[in-house]
Amino acid sequence: MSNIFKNRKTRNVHKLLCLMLPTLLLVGCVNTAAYREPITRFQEASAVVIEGVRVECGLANKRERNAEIDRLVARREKIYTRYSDDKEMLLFKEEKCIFSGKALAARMNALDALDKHGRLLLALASSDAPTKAKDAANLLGDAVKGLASSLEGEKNSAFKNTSEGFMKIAAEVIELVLNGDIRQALDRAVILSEGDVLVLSNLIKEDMIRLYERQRVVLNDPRVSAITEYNDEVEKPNPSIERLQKLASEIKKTEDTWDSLPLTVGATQSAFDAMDQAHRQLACYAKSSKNPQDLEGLTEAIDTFITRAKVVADAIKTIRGVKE
Amino acid sequence: MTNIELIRLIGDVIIKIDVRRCMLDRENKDRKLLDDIRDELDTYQRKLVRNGIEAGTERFKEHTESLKQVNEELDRTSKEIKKTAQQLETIAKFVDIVGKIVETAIPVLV
Repeated sequence: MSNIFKNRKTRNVHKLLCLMLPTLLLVGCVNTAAYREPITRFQEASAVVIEGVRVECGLANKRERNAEIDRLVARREKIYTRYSDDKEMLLFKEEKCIFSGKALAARMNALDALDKHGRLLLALASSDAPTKAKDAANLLGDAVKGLASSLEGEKNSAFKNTSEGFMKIAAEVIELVLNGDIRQALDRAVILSEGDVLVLSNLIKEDMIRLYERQRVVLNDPRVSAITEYNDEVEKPNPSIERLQKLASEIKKTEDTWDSLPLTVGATQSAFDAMDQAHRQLACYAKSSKNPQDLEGLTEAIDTFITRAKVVADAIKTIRGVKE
Repeated sequence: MTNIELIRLIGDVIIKIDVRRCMLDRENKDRKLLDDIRDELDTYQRKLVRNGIEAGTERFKEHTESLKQVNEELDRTSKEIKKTAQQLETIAKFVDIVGKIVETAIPVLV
């Protein structure tokens, strides 16, 4: 008799669980579902802006090299080559570059860590989170290890502290994911990263400002050379109209390049401001009770970020279309 | 003055020099002098962008204050084209101070 009673009780408990489980799952899904769209849009916009910075950092040394060659041409000076420690022929000393090999590697790895962080949030917010989340957290961990190794020996590097912050996030998220707590993992990933994303964003913005100021000077010298050539021809007793037209085309080219200066650099700074604001709103949402009204500020900030990221995307297309 | 403001100020002065350079023939002696000055400031600016700089020291603050004054003097003289010699002297002062800032500064590893 007691066995029958026990079995009936067990069946009732099972029935209750079967009724409750979908509800529990649904509640969990609703919370990450509300996150999903803003995080998807945040990650897409972040990827574009990060790519903009990669392009600018990648071009910085090339622009210095080209400017140095143009300077020597304008001054009618020789190019002297040298033999490097790596057994390569170099045109100029490394001091002529904006970024040393190490500095460039540190920046690319920091951008990679930021990118992987965005992808981790996306993986945590997606519908098949448990499968992808652990892999995404491991990828972030790998990206951070890459950053840390590129900063070896750099005692005071401003990028160093952010690598430690991201490492903690990866470790904590992996643990929460393994325990099956995806919603908590997502909240924690957003909240823990708030400080590091802001610090990294400020470092990158400062880099962009410095590159912009440098570009002002680098792009102005060809303008002077083109104008000087033109004026030299004008001063001749019988200036050639054909030559003047050719030189005028050169002036127009240098002016076009000058006009495109604010494109990526200026657009990237503005996009990072919007990224900061969007991430701050994400963190506010992560800390909130996640009512529909909590989502409003987040949606607005993400919309602004998307708009500014589009400007960066257009600028990248223009730069890739222009011969450097 | 911050590191970025210093980089920007040097850029502003280089552009002023460039405007002056455009007015002179390539073989003009003042043009050649301005070309050399421009190259020197360009090198200093690149060093500051590449290395960063510790902007909080007393020496840095003193030098940048002097730099602001020299820049104001440069603005006054650049409005009068006939004051070329005076302008060149002011620019030379500017380059000298920038050189002191860059050569004696503590680099910030970035």
